[in-house]
This record gives sequence, C-alpha cells and structure tokens, in this order.
Amino acid sequence: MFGKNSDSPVAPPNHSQINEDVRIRGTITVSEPLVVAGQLDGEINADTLHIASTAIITGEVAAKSVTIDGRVLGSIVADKVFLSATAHFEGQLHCKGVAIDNGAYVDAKFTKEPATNG
Amino acid sequence: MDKLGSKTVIGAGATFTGKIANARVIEVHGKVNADLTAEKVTIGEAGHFDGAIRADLVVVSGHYEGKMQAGSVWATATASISGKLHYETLQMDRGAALNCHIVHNWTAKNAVAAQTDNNDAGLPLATPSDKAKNGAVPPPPEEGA
Repeated sequence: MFGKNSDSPVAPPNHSQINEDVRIRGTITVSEPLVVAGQLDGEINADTLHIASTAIITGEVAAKSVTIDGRVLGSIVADKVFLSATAHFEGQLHCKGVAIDNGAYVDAKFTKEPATNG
Repeated sequence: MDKLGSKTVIGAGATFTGKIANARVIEVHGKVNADLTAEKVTIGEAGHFDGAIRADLVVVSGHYEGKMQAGSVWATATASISGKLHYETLQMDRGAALNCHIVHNWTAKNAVAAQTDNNDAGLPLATPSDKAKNGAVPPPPEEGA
C-alpha cells in the first residue's frame, strides 16, 4: 500500500466528478466541467454540468450548460439545458434555451430569461 | 457514466462545502470543507481539505486541517497537516509538515481486545475446580499484602 509510487497523486485533473455511490450534502462550486452520478442534496454552481442517469439531485442548480440524464428535483438556472430521454425533472427551470428528448419526464415551470448565473 | 471511473474527484477549480458519505475513492484537488467518510482519500498537492475524515487510507500531498481517523496515512513531501490524526500506520516523507496531535490507536479494536482479555482473566469464577486451577498457575493478586 505504502511502497507503491503509483499511488502518489498525479497532475490534478481539471474536471470534477461525483461518483455513483456517493452521497453528498452541501454546496459545490466548480469553474470546470462537473459530472454528477451520485446523490446530491444542496447547491451546484458549475460551468458545464452533466447529471448522469444514476444521479439524484435535490436542490438548486446553476450552470452555463446542463445535460440531464438523471433525476433533478428543484430549480435550475442555466443558459442551455438538455433533458435526455432518461431525464426526470421536477421543479423550476430558468433558462435561455432548452431541449427535451422524447421520453423525458418533465414537471416544471419554465421561465425563459437570460441566466444571470453560471 | 461510462467515462466516469470508480472514483470521485473534486477538481482543481472546485469548492465544496458540506458532507460527503459513501465515497469509495475520492481525490481532492480543490478546496473542500466537509465531513468525509471514504475508503481511500487523496488530497492532491493543490488540494485544501478542512474537516473530518474517516477512511482506510489517506494520502496527503496538500493541506489538511481537521480530525482524521485513518487506517493508513501517507504524508508525502508536500503535505501539511494540522489538527488531530488518529492512525494505525503512518508514513511521512521527508519534507512533510505535521503540526498536529498524533495518536496511534484509531481503531477501538485494540481497546476492545484489551477489554476482552481482562474479562477472560476475570471469568474463571465459573467452577471451583477452574478457580483452583487458575489460582495455582498465576499467583492471585494479593490485596492484603
């Protein structure tokens, strides 16, 4: 465990990811791409956000561009939002442009406005 | 999902505040203020971690402040740790800065084992024969003497 140099940290990656089995409560602010596959309860401020199919997000999301494959309950403020066929979204959406795939579950209030956030 | 490895990464530009549970492998390169439970934690050279960690293995190359309870701790040359450190095995590279309270015991295992031993020693009041046998081998504690 200790002797292995392969364990030593390499160059820091400039993206962030929250893995599938992780449960998080809190606020995450990222200036780089963020992939969420776990459970997050709280706030996300990101540039490019990918919410994977295994993800469950409860709370507020602010980003430039958001791709949703998983579940989101809460509010999204973004420039561009893409809801894929596996997406499940309930809440409020505040965005410039939105694309919704056939099959996505959406129960939301839409407001079209230039996003101030992200 | 597929491109996602089996680990969680807080990137260099990321700030996180809150609580992280159930993370198997987590790498911190940004600023984190959190309570964390994981199997393996890596704090990168640029990483700042503030808060409690419970993990089997923690590799620290950046800044850590808080209460860490870990099976194995590796403080690399660029590490700086302050707070409290409970560990079972510790490796410290030349240059690592440890400014903390370090305790080698993090598991309650040892304490429990000691307790059990004591109980075992105290047990043989089961039968008189046992008692006699036990009393014959080690001299019983003499309180009067």
